[in-house]
Amino acid sequence: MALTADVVVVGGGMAGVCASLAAREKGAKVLLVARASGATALSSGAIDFGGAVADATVGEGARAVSRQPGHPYALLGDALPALLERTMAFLRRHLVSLGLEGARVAADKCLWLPTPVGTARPAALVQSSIAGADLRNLSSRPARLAVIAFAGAQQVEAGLVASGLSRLLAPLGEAVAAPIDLYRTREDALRSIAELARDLDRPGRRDLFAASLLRAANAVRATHVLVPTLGFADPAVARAEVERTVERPVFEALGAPPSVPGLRLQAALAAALRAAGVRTVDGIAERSGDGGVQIVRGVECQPVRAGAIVLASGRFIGGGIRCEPGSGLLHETVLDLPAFAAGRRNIAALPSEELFAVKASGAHPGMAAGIRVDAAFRPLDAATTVPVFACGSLLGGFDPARDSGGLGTCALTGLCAGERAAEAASRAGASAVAGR
Amino acid sequence: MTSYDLLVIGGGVNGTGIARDAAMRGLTTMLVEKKDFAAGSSGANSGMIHGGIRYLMNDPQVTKLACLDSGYIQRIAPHLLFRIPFLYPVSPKKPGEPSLADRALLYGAECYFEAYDKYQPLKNGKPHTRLTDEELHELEPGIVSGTLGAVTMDEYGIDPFRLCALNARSAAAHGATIRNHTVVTRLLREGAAVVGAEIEDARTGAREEVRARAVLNAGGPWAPKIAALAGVAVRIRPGKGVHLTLDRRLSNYGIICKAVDGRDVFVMPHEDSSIIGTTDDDFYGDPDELTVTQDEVEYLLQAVEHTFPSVRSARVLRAWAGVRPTLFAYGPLEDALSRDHHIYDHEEDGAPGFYSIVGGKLASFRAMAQEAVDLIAHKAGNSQPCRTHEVPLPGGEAAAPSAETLGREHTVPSYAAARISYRHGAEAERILSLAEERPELRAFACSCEGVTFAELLFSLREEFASSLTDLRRRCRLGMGVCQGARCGGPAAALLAGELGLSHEKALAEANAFLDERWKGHRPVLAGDGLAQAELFQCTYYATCALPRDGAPERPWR
Repeated sequence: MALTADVVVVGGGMAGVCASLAAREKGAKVLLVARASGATALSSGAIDFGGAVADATVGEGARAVSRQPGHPYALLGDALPALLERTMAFLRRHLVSLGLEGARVAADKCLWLPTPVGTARPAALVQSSIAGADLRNLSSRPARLAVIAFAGAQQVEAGLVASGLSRLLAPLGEAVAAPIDLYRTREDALRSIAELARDLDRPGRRDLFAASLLRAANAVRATHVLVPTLGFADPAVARAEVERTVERPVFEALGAPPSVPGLRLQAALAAALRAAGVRTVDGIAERSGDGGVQIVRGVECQPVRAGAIVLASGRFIGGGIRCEPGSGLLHETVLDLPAFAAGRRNIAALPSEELFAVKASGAHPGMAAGIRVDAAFRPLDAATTVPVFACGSLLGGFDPARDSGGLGTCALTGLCAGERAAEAASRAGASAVAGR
Repeated sequence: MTSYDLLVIGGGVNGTGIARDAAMRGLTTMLVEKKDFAAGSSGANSGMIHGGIRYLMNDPQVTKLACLDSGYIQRIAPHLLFRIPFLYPVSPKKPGEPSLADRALLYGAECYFEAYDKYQPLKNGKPHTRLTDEELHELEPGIVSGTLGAVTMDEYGIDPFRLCALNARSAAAHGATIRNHTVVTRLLREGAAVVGAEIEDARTGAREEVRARAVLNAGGPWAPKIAALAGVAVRIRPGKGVHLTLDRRLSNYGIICKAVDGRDVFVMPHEDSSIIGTTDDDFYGDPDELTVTQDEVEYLLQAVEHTFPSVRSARVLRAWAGVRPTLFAYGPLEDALSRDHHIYDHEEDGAPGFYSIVGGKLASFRAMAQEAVDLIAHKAGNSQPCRTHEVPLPGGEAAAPSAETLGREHTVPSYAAARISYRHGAEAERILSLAEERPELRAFACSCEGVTFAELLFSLREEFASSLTDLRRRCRLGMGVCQGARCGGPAAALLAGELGLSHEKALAEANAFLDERWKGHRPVLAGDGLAQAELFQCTYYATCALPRDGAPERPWR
């Protein structure tokens, strides 16, 4: 039996969920198809819109990257600042459990948050348990930040983090590594931060943890405390409880993938879908013979009848764009649309320093591959019977590793694509009624 | 000024082997290497101590030497060697229509392998067997159907990076001075004689002069450049060899495949991966500037696909290249070049005190070293016998502890214990005892290759490692399926802590390591590898915000 919806969204990361929620807000009946968690779950959880350099505001940064060739912001023209603000409000509204903090308007500046290697990375919005670690703010006072270390790899890493943050907090403040006396067994040394976060969610653990943090903070005379994690559940509540015991501000650190904030963001997105009444299906969406999409689950194949389709299937991590070994041709995986990087379809014809620089830290336009869309976010090459829209990393033209946009860009384009898909579906529905 | 009996230039398998031999015979010895042990050809090969069956027809002395020495390497470093039985399948030229010529090929192969059997006892190898098509597919179901059967032979794999590092460590234990990351800037002369060298620490730029009664050039593909410092010519015919590493053990046996041009290409299991190799093409470039082309990658994949089609479903983790310092000859095709070696006493060229060693193969390094040191020691009036074939390398003194025991006693997962036991043999206990004092050291820096922080620390302290890329060679840091996507930060943290590096320097070390990993991944970016590359890029340059060139220290000011 066919699944029916006004809008079917392919992809369950930041872009797909925002598209679904935006379409839902426009009154559409939405079905979201996701294969598995993708780049959003593997992210640091910090939401940025790109271009966050020096003292630029969120709006200035976005405007700067919108001038890069092929950047999706270029499609928005003067609507960009307003859209940035709508997106920030939209995320705060739908992800209440995360208590997102940071910028509210395009004229606000970014937060600069401590990374797993003791550098600072920008974010327009971040979970409330993390936001207080804004290094620009902390560096304006004589802060002494305790970098809390658990027993395993974090114990090794804490020294590097503390030395890096000391550079960033100088000359007024400094950071110092501080081991805690919880999680000290040999077995604990083998556990990841995510595993320890699960353990912190167990009854009674948070109190023990807070007491241990207090001892560690006192031992190094810290004014502020940076912890690897506060647990998965209820970060805002956990932070308030722990701070009561520790008697100082406590912040969570961003983590390398798979990070707790990234996994928490993915969980919050799923909760927002449920709250909004978006139906979700686990499966692989592919083009059907009649020019629409169908969902493949194992050996089952179910057609979908929808008024509009939103592709939010991601780039390489998400699986929305692939380049098959051998052919070397970039293509989009749901509708088999052609994909491009820096105007080229064939990316495997090496040596090509145009697409992938020799140095890891160099410029890699190949990593910003995506499909081509018109100003309404409709793919140029789609030959489907229903209107198709695209959003998120699938669009290409931006690359989180090159400061040209990240989760925020996915949210913003998702919002645009979702609203337009709802409108298109509603027009299609109206004309279907009129045609009857 | 410090004075030595012997100054060895080059830290490949020949240089480290020579330094070890010389030091064991009581010669005061210094080894200088501009990068790191096995950073050139000695680390960019198939990782095989093979007997050289290929050379049996034209260079039987090469085969005999390699087999004999293969046996000796098993004796001195039993932990480092792993047996790889090879299969040589023969398929009819026209599928389903075996011709007389096809049968003759199989028969000929068997005769050839039978001749090789004579040498197998030297290296504890089993004699060849002939397999029917059915028996072949019982062993390796992935091989194309309809073969005429196959012939088998026994060879051994090795971690060539560890072999070189252990040679260097053994040399140091016998009194040699070991200096990696040290460049020879010029040679010291007294009249015509070469009497030492000016050396420069590649990290600090500090220069010093060292005197030596003999200076030996073991530069491999760089040997002609080093010889030029002495004003003499050493000619080699450099051959570029490309290998691919897969994300899985494609087969349990080594399989000899035919490339499109009829050359033999091997796919062989190596640790958790499979290695495909190799190409052999004349190389005219700078051995410091090796890159792999798409053509080379495709040539190797096509060669294996012809015999083992499912290679296309594996992910190619990286492509890497090395340069063979083959003896010069004008005329023969690359594959037909002799793998014999030659030791030059440049006294004949008017540079007394200067020697060069070129050619040869990994498996016979020890015998070549012995020959070189015989020549130099004899001139110095030293008649001590060579003992490098009897005295174990570090870790080879006793049997390696079992992974189960090691894992249980030190609370590390047994897959990590197994890797430590393989890489370090009898020294495995010493490494994990570091985690008894600092419990966090049992955690993984690199979970793909089961590398604990304890192992990294041991290599920093005991194995002349001073960078993340050195640690990659010592312990396989970042050599697994994620190609360094996770270990860069944690390993840089350990390095900074142990060496007292500034934060800035630690991140520069991380960046250098990531560049080196990216270099091998870049030529094979396709399919799932692009997802891995995206994760790698986003982890380091988005989540970790590693500084790129010209980025300000404090971004908000």
